[in-house]
Amino acid sequence: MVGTRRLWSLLLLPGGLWLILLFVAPFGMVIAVSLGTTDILGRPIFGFFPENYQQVFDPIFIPVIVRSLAFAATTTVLCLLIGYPVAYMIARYAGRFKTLLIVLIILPWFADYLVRIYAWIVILGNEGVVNGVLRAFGLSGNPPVIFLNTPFAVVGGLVYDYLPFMILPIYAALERMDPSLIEAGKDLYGTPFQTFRHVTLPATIQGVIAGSVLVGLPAVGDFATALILGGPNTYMIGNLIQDQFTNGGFWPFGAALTIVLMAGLSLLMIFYLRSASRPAEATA
Amino acid sequence: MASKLWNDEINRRDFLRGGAALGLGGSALWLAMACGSTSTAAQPSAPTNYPKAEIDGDLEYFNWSEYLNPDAITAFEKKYSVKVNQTNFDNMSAMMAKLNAGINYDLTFPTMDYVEQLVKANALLPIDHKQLVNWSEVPSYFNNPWYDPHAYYSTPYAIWTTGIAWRTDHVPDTLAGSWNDLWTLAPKYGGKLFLLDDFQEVIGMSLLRLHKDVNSGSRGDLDKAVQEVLNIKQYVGKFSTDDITNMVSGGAAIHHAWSGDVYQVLSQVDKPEVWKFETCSEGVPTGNDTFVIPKNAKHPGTALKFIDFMLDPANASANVDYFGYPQVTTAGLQHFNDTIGKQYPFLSLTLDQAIHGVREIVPSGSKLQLWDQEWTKIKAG
Repeated sequence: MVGTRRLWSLLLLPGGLWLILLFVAPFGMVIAVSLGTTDILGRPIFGFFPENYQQVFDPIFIPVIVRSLAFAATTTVLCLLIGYPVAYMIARYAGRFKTLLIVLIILPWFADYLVRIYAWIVILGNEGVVNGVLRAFGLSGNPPVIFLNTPFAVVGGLVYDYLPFMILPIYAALERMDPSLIEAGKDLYGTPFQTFRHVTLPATIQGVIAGSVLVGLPAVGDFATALILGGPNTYMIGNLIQDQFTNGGFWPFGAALTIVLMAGLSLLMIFYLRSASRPAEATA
Repeated sequence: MASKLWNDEINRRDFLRGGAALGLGGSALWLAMACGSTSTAAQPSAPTNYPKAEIDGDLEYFNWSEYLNPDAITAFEKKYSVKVNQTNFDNMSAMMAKLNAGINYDLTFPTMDYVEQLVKANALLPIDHKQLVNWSEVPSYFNNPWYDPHAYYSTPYAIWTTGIAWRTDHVPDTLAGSWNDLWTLAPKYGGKLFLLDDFQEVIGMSLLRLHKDVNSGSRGDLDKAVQEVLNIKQYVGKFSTDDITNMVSGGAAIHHAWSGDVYQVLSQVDKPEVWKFETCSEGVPTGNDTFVIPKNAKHPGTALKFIDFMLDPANASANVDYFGYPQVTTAGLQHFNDTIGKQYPFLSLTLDQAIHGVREIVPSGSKLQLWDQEWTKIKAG
């Protein structure tokens, strides 16, 4: 018994080391930089300069924060609206094609994230695929419909980036759900909508919440999508942080922004974990 | 992820400028030091630890990719029976990170802002002009450039200017050779006007347009300049330093752009004749990069030999043909203006222009903080 326990502790070692080396240590560095300053060559000097944090709460950043949250919320809602029916169709009606369809959903992730965002430039560009199709139907001409560099392109890109993270947990929840519950709902004269509303949705709400967290949190901090597909009016928190490291900025302030963003997202995460553990307690 | 993005997204000049901007982080030291003891660079004393210009091993060479004629490297290897081990960087910050990490390079290519910092930080080996046979090729101004008094530590490499590029088939208007062109054309070409994603270039050109100091530290000047940019922001397609891609395939019809990049565009598009470039009468931001030998170089002698080799008139001219920038030697500049400058007169760049161009100097101290805030107003607003 004790032997097994020791074995399990030993098995934790590689993962633990991994976390310490690749998460705890870098995170510690970020905290240290966020409180420090830099020398003439931009190398961090450690110290205690809490004013780096004070700057984070400058009202100038409010539009950036609001915009990031709005983009992330819109992305989450769109992913849910698109992802739930997809997950539902696969879980309920795909039969032996289930695995294949799930693989197809994950497949684009085998290509690099940035390459896939760049692909949207080709798709949405002024001379791109979408404008070509619209032109064929006489819906776009000269000047073409401008998609790129707009909030639509950014939210579209974000939805595309994170959609699988919504589909997979909902699919898993639907798989776990006993299909006879739906039949029971119908037996009790529930309309399809009532059955969905009172049976299926509550039974899969954990998948919905998990999906929303997996989509919403990274979307708030995403910067590559806004950088590549966005324009002057799509500046997000991630871009602000990035500029601190590359364009007129100051590393410690960028690090402080990072820590504050992480703290904010952690709060949301804690909220999620607590809501997720409640039903577990109830059933236990 | 972040570093990957840099590699993918941003072109050379962007890295250059982004890197220059990153230098800001460095100057922030002064900011932290509070109540800025104005860092008036005291005239540095002449160095004494000159390395000897003689082959002392294989050259560890650290440059942008495709930024120096590969034939010259082969010829150098052959002439001196040494190997040139090439490593490339994608941006100034990557270069600085590797230098800061203590990796030994014998020769690297920082931009002027970085040279100034590297010199101040005493991170370079001095270059003894007397030991370079071809030093006479270096124009006299660059014997005492602003970023490196007496050129103790650097040799100039290539120069560029910042101006406005546009394609005449989409923009038939006559431009006035003024930064104001951006403001007059903006409402007409909404979404097709691109500005550089570079805080010094954008705020700087807006200041120039208002006939203010391009390096102004006055909040009033900066507020005004930033407000002017915000007035046309709704028409800006994008703030981006990827000006080559934006012009070649990204739908930009008017671009706040770097001259060297314009040459790259001209050589990449099907119809180069529709593209034009102008510099602006209120002031032409001008910059250059350099050869330097890091302090911990193992083979500074070979590095000096290499610099000398590249200063050679024939080699400099062949190099200009290769990379399309005016290399700052008498022969290199001459050759550039005889070839590329002749073919595209709007790209021609004389030494006089380079010297009298406007210098955007990375702000430091409380001024850095001010500029950072003002830039955020533009980006976040």
